[in-house]
Amino acid sequence: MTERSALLFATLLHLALFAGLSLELAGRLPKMLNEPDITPVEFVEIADAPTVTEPPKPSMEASPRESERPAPAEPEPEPPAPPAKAEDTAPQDAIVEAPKPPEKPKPKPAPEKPKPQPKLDTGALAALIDKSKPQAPVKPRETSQFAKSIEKAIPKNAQLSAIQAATLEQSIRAQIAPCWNPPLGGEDVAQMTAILRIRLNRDGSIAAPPEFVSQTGANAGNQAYARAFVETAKRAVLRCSPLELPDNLYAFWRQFELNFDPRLMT
Amino acid sequence: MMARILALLAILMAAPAAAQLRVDITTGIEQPMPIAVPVFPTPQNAPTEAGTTAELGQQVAGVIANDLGGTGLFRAVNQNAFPRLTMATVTAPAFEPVRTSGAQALAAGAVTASGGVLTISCYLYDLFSEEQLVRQEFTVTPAGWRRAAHKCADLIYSRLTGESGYFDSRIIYVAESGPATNRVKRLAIMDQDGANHRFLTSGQSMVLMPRFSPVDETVSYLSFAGNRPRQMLYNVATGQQRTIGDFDSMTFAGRFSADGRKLVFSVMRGGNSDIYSYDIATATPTRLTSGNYIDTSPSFSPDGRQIAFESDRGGSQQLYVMNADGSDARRISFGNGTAGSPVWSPRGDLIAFTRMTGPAFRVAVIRPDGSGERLLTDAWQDESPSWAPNGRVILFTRTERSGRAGLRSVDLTGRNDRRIATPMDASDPSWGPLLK
Repeated sequence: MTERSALLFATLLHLALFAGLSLELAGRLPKMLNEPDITPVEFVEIADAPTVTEPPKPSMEASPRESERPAPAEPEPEPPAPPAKAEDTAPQDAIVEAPKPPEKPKPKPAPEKPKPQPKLDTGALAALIDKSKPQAPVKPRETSQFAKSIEKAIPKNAQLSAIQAATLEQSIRAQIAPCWNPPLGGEDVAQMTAILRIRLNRDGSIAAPPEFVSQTGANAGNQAYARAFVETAKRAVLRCSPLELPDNLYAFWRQFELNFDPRLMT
Repeated sequence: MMARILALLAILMAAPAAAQLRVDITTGIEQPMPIAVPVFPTPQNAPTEAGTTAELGQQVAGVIANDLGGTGLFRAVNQNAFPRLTMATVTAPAFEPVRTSGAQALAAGAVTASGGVLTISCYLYDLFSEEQLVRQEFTVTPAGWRRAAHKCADLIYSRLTGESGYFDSRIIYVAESGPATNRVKRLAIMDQDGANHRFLTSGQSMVLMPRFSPVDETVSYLSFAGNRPRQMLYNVATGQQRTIGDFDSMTFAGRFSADGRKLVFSVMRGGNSDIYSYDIATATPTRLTSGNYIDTSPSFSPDGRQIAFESDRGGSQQLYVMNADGSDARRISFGNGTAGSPVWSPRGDLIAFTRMTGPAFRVAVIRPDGSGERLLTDAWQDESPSWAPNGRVILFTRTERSGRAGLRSVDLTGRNDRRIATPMDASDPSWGPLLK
């Protein structure tokens, strides 16, 4: 139960952090801008709620002595006799039999271009997480980042309510995630993230190739993997463009950053 | 007051340039990536001993598509969904027509015959960034065209996944036939995709537990010729073999260290079994465990510093890890049932093993510190795991309730469980290294 209490503790800490930041922002904002709407940061976090769900605990109780398979000597017991085929008479080594071709993967219909979804089913994806793997400690999120960026981004007379902001982020996420095929097989996948800068035209099309900003988890030993990782992120953006985003908020999505982090999938 | 207003104005005017909305993408899809593998064109259709270059162009594309598709990470797009490539367009393809087929990458190349050798070129393009990601040429004898195709598939796989490939490799295993009372067991070898199958022993005497060296074409196995069990080292390329060790009692075929210079195996005396390492060059055995226990199935870590093995010293058959000199053995498997046949991944991060719960045997992986145990298969009897050279796929034996046994592979996600076709029943596979 230590994991549960640790998670609970972390959740409480997060909540406390959010509350503190919100209060601080609430205290400052009116002085900086006459935009009373822009306060609640929590909306952004709602979409990430599955992060905190607790995975079932792997049962790791020491087993007392079992005697179902006593002292196995190495040659495994012979399996029961299969229906014998008597093709096996030649004593020489040179018999060559044509093997059957390996099973072919079943062709699947070509996937349609993913359409923007109203809501990303993060719950279902979170359910795919390997249950027996201890959950990596959840990285503290920069929850204030989004609010700050909105704060800074707002031209003089623009209005972006917190709900609009959260919806915008949600919409971008819902359109990019179905196009991202992260390379999950890499040994260092759990530490790997990449940030790209995206520039869009008003019609949602790509105005410039996705620009690499930074990456975590890359080291001298995994350069090939780190490169492949960034390429999957770039490909996701290119595949899913043009994005469908609210025209009246173009000022806010003309340029933004995407942080690709497959933590929930590993 | 005025200063504050000015400061605020300055911030607001600078804001649009500094604006940076950041969105976390924490999930993606786990569907195979569609890839186009068109028929490899040839500048001139020339006959070779392995068929015409036009035929080979078709077959090479087929082998590459099959290799990539077999990983579960890629899906070859139907070749009719995009235009055929010509010698001119292989190096400068039009991306748009291929992209509309749904493919995200294009694997292309050409087959050229000249002076009795084949040159197979291999190109990979990203259809979205419209860049050439990699290119290489392989020169082989016509009979070796499959190896060139596997090499091309390895190149594409490793460029797109960032992991090393494993297609140009072979599998050795025990081919089984005949009734249970008189089972014939022969060594057999084949390419990892099942092609080029051949038997290495006649079947007159039993063989068990073949293990590929991770560095060359040497295989260790247990021979029962003359009804006496002996450890053998067999060179698949030259056919030469020799007996190793001189033990007065039963030994079990060992596994090689990552450098191929040592073997670890267990020696049975009475009801007791201990682990030995064996220096192949100096023919020196070193005893590593002692005591009244069954210590068996040792496997070196890739850095050679540790050995995973199974032991009943704690009261039931479980996995242990010890230093390579035999010191500091610690138990790593707990949970329900017993655990055996540990095999250390060539990547070092995981140990594959057989998890036995009641009558069910399943292939599982665990971290060397005992954390993160995961079952990868769920059938009646899956056992004898062996790693692909890149540490991402595991080969194993599946025995059906009918008694039929065959080879299968599963990747680390556990979702890509595939049969590997063999001409007869098969068991105890060992995946060899990537060929040079």
